[in-house]
Amino acid sequence: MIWTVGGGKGGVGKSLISSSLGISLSRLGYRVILVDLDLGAANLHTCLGTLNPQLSLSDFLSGRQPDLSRICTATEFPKLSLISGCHDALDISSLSSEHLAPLMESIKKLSSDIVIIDLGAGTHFTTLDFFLDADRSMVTFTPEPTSLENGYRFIKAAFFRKMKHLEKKFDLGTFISEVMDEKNRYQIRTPYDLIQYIISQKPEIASQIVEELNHIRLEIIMNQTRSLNDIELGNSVLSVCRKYFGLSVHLLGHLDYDNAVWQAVRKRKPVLLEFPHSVISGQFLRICKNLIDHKSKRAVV
Amino acid sequence: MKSFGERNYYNILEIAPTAQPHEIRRAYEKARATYSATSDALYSIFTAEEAGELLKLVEEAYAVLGNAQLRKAYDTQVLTHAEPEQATNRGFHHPPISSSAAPSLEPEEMAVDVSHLGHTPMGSYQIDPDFESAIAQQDVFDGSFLRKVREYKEVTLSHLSQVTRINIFYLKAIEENDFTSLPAPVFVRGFIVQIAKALKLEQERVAKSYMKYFKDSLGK
Repeated sequence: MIWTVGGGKGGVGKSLISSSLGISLSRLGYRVILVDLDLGAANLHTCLGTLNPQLSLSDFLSGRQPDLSRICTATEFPKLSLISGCHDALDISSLSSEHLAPLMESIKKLSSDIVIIDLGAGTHFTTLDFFLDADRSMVTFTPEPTSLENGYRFIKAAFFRKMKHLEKKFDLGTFISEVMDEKNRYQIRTPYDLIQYIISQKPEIASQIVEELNHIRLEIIMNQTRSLNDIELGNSVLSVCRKYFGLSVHLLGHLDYDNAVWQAVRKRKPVLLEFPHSVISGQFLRICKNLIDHKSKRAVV
Repeated sequence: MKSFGERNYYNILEIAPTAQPHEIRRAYEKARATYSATSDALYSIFTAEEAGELLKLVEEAYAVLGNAQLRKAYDTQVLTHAEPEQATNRGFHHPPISSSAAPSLEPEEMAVDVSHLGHTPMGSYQIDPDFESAIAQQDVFDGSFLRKVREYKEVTLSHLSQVTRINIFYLKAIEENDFTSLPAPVFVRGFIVQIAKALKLEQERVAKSYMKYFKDSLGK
């Protein structure tokens, strides 16, 4: 299982969420590997405590260490290890797609129950491709317009990236690009409209396209909630995403704004370790149980 | 924006066709908060105009689904013809193969007539012209008449209590003209104004009438 945590904007809690989910899941008995793909701005190792990994992703990407599993650094949590992005070359954020494919393949081959990938901010193609390729794609929001704007933008970018892939896969020529460009002519405003249009125009491949899109499993986390309204905003974002994108979207839960977080970060300790009885630690556990219950339910069905 | 109209009322409120009335109510409240003009969730996604259109659809969906009779009519009209799209949260469903078999879900074509519906913040009700004129002619708005209005507008006590934020104990006391259980007149006046507002009555007239009745009964 590969899970990714994205969000478009920086500072919305992607690394905090990745590391805390990793710790919580490992405590629940899962073997977890965290991958820091926030290339150029990696700090997942700091979120996990003051680790200073000797090897990092750049050793793999440069070919010095072709075996990704050897880059895994043990953490103080027994079942949790880290593939760090620290010590990276300074031009690493402009990773091209030819580097990307082998990395994804190697990540898929890692022996663990769950791989959690911490994505970078922005809508770089690398970020989007990892996001789309995952079994679960989580998007982090905070209740601020800047975060909402970037978060929506991130999902939009991922959606159109996916549509581009589908265009290639089903050999549609420039069909999708055309529809996306000539918005006015076809009266297509939202991705939902776009899908409906494709379904009506290309009924022979409609079911396959729907299948492909249903494979994207978006999950929203509302971070830094300070009031009931902020929590409700999570529900509203969920509804807007469903109506706008028409994709399968779920709300995993909310995380309260908690002073424990910055206090733990300044001590360079995971908040779950430093403040195990804080509100946010409980909320992480709840989100984890949500994630796992869903999985077991799906397995039964 | 045609596509919004193609979704059925259950999809619009994001509920299953088997949803219970309280679930419909909750879904409606959520949807109204989401697509209201002040909602942050719309930022950079839907324009004010589109949000307004969605909000109109939400209101329309609730006007039908929030009313047991209309919902039943709608279900037989629409859902028996087209397969209900069970769970909106599972993404897309492609439309039935033969388009002729699937009736359009455009609101205008629905047999359910929504033009005779009155609205309160709590939901909708069938307008009865006789009762409307009775309300217009009523001189004394006492508790029992307020109850009649509430029942005519298909509002439950607990629902009214939620909207007006008045304890159900006081609402009952007001309707039963049980003045000894009510607080000081200045508070009662506030209650009556809230109730009249929720039931879409003329606040001033109702409050004045009720307060006169209230004070007369107390002998002040």
